[in-house]
Amino acid sequence: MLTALLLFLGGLGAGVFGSLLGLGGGILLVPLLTVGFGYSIVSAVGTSLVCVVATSAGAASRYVRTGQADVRLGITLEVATATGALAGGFVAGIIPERLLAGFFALLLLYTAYTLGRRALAPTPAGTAPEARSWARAGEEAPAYRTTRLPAAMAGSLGAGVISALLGIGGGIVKVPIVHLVMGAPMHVSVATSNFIIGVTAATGAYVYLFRGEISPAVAGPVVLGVALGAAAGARISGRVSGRWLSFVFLAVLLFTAFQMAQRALGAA
Amino acid sequence: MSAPTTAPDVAPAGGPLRRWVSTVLTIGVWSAVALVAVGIGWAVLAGRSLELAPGSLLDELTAGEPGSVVLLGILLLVLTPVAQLVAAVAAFARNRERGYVIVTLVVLGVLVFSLVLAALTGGGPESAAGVLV
Repeated sequence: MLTALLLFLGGLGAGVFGSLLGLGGGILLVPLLTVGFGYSIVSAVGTSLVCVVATSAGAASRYVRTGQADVRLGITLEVATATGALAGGFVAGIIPERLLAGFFALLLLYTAYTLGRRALAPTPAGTAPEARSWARAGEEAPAYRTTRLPAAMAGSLGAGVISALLGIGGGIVKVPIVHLVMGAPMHVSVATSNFIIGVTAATGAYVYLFRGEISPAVAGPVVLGVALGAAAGARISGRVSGRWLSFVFLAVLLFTAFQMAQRALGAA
Repeated sequence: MSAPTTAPDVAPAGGPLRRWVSTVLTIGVWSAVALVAVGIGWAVLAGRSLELAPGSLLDELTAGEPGSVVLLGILLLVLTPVAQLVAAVAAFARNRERGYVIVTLVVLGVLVFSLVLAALTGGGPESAAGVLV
């Protein structure tokens, strides 16, 4: 009973955090479930995947309705991510995991640096001649334009490969791609990532669910908390400044880079 | 034009795309939450456990336990992304955006493929897409 309440509260926090930053919340939930509650890593990852779907659906139901999430942009990038994730399954074992983790750690550090610089001195985004709007003719156009779709597609493909091989890399790659590569505002990047990571996570969640590795006693209370937290987070998102979102995201990037560096050095 | 620091102001939903996708997401997530809550409430009020005897998903769903109701809610939740993409395909078709119909069908195809594969093999070996997002 007490455990269920604590799981619910943990989920609530992860839901708010995930919906505000465009992350699934797995970065918080997996350590919470394994270290905090002592569940196995398999059970924690399965539960976490279900919770990513809950974060995504709970937050995106609002983000999509208000237009903060860009459905066309999100689905377009997802084609590359899904392809990369499938390809990643085939090259698993060919690329040494530690080398990949080390490379990813450096990439995250560079991303953190770029994000920090952008947050301190916002460059006018999407004013390049090739900038495009994702709105359809006749639809009210959003206030932003994006650039460099080919680079973003390549990055999303890489994100899919990395996520299949390292088990992370949904939102933490997608938000910087949409914000830093494509030039969309932080709020749009976060919401678009939120909209689409549910699709990626569901792909993985089915395996755990059909193997009977999702325990109702664990996943039930967490899912309840996460869904409520995500809905609340999506509500307050508009009142949080883009710069603040950038700095919290930067902290998450540094934390994840540290974790990846540990994996690269074989310490974890 | 400087990058907005707050959420962009947006007019109420235009075409069917945003409206349909968000409606499907809302229905999916809140009916799932309702089922999970009913299952937990049942367990608490009846003083029963949420744990289920290990078995196939179908066995667990039909066990008639509070945990079965929770699991049904979770199943509904993870099927919501399928419904959200179906809604997007329908909206793009209605808008006559053929390119996006195809792109969304590709994503939907990968998702349904992994669902069918998992269902047929009872989970089977570690999936390529078993990612932590």
